[in-house]
Amino acid sequence: MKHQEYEKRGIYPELRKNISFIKEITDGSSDILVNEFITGGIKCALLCCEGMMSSQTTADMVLEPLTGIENQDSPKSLFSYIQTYLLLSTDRTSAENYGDMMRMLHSGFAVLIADGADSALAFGVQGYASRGIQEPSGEGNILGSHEGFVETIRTNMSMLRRRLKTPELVMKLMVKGSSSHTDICLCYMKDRVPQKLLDRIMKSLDEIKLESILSTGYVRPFLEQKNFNLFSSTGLTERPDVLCSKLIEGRAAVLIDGIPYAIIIPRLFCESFHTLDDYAHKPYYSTFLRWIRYGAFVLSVLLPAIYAAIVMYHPELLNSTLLLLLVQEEKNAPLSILTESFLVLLMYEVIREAGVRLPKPVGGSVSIISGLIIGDAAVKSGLVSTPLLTMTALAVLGGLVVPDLNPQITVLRFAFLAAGGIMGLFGISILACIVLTNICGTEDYGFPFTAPLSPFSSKGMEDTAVRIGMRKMQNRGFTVEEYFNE
Amino acid sequence: MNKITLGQFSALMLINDVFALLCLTGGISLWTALGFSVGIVVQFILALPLIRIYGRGKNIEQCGKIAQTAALIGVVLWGGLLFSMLWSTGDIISVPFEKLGKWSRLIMAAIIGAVCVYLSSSGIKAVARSGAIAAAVGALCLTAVAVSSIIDSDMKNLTIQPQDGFFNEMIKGIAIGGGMNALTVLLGYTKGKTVRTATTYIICRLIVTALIIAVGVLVSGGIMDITDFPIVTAAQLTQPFSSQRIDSLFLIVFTVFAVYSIAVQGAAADYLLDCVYPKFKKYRCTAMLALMALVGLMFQGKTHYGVTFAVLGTAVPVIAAICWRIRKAVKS
Repeated sequence: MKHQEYEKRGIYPELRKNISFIKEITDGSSDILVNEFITGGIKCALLCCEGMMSSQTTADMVLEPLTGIENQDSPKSLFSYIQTYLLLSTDRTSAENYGDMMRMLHSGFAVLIADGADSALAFGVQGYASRGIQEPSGEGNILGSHEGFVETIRTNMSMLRRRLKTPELVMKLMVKGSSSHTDICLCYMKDRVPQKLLDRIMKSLDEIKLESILSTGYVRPFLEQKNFNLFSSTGLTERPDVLCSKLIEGRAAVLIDGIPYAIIIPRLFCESFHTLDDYAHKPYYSTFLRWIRYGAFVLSVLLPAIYAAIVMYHPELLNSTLLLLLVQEEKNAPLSILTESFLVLLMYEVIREAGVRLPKPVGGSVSIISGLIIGDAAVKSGLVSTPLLTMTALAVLGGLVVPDLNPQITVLRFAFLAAGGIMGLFGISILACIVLTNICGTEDYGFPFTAPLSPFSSKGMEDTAVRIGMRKMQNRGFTVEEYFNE
Repeated sequence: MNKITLGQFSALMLINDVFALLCLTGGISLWTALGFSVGIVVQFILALPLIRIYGRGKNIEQCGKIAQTAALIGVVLWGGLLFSMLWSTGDIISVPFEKLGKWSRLIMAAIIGAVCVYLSSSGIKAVARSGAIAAAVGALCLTAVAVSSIIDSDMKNLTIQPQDGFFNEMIKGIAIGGGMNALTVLLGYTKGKTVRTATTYIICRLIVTALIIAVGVLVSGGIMDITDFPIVTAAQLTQPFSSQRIDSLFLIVFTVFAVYSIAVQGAAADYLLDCVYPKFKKYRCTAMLALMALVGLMFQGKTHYGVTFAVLGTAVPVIAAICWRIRKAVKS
């Protein structure tokens, strides 16, 4: 039976017909359990979805109290009695049609139907298996919390609430996905988030008419502008502490059930270079680390391109010793520098992809062995020169310093290499203009992606170019609204 | 059009002025610096009425179609001049495809033109933001050149005889200040106090112009008679290290400044065309940049420093101010 055929249909009062219809809707699905019993002198059935509810809670908190009810005049009075005198669950609701009933059933509610009743009562007894809270795999942290988001949205919401015990933190749940009925939670601090930002996010979320939401990538395009942008103007985090810091700055976030990541709106370019550890170290060391990351990003994108451009077209930029060294190495290589660079970079990408896709115990070994063996063999056979391999390795390593931007870094590295290899520094400059303008043109909800650098904000630079001390920071009263530019 | 900040406005205008200075041909002396400075002040004074009008929250849209058309012509002509300067100066800039002879200049200009189409169509806000970053990087590189020029400079060059009289130098200074046409558009959309913004820009322009010409005179003064592009030659002669050359870094500055100078004209022309002829929607930017390239071809081989070009560099703000006054008088 199609979804549209039962979505708004009212519940049949006859229990037999009701149960038959539910079986028809679910096509006799094995995970739908129907337990018929008599209570209060009325025939009833308790419907559950196996694996979505806790059997223990259902037996103790629902079934046992329900079976001991005295005789009632009608199903209506039975339901009224249950609602008034029995607190079977803290999450209680009712359903008037089959659409709502099925949603609750599939969300782990125990649904009570009775002969003669044209509605159903639902009790939250969810208890599905889920992964426990673990350390985030992609956002390393040394001195801070080691908790990361999990797949269960309620657990993620509780992790936020534990860190921000204030009524200003608002978490609004909504359901998206016509088939998946995925819970989505919009989080914000109501006293800090710009109202315009909130209104526009709600409008963007309303545009989602997808059938299912299975990853953040399903939602992010709706929250970002339609133009082609190299970088995403929404961020991702798997750390509740990072998300809390963003919410305090007046941003909004979207949690999606089944995904251990939160989408942060808006995200700025400079934030990719910040880590929570920056606030745990002394400001001078944090500033140093930040500049290391900025430098690593630039190196990772430009180093292979600059190497190719200088060696191929602008050798005068090198001093004589270095030039002689490179000439000596490169003259033995059979391929052109551009081809060599492309081959080495492609080789790295293949090894990386293999390492990611293979099972973990094998993946790591494959990466190390293939890197060592292939790299060593390539140099020894003279296929690749040592300086080029060093430059490529440095560039790749630099990219790993800013994992947030890894996809963009990878593509840009190839693009700049092509530009530098074909047109030298002229090509690199031209491509840099295009990339820079694309980054600067990225703006969602009125927040420029390149703030606080351009448009320049000296206040914003206090936590971008440097990292000021906590004493100064507590008086700063910074919210992202300061970057609002429309 | 979206609002831009004082810094972004100044950066875009200065990139334009510096690029024109980099492409400067003919001999220069301290008289040039003086003449150019007076020329800048004259341009500022002539643009002052319009700046004050913009100070009341007005912009080119309120100045009427005649002013918009004049500004459009001015911007397109100046954009064409920039293309022409790029072609001329491209000769001495080392690009990988220079083996192609005269085609290399055309390829270089075509690539820059194509990039400008992308930049201009991204909107003035994106160009202004990225231009501010590019200007900061350019300023850093030029400062490095200026500092290292101390080693290669010869103080005797300060006394070299001017090739032209003061008046001619002033006219030349105004003629390479055609970027003021873009001011007619951009200033109306700059946040903050307009007079302050314009004054800040003019002061920065005076300082940058004087500094660049001084470096040019100090470094390439001795060979002024045999060099076509004194500023480019100065940059090429200025080498901070004994065993390596940094000419290629100048190529980066030159390319980036060329891209942004032309892109700003493209974005301004795109906006003005929308004001003048709103029915023209698609490929407006491409059409304007193609027109500029054609104008550039037309100007190719001609000297750009005559009275005609000086008039081009000053007339648009004056016409816009007069148009606004007339419209106001007619309305009241």
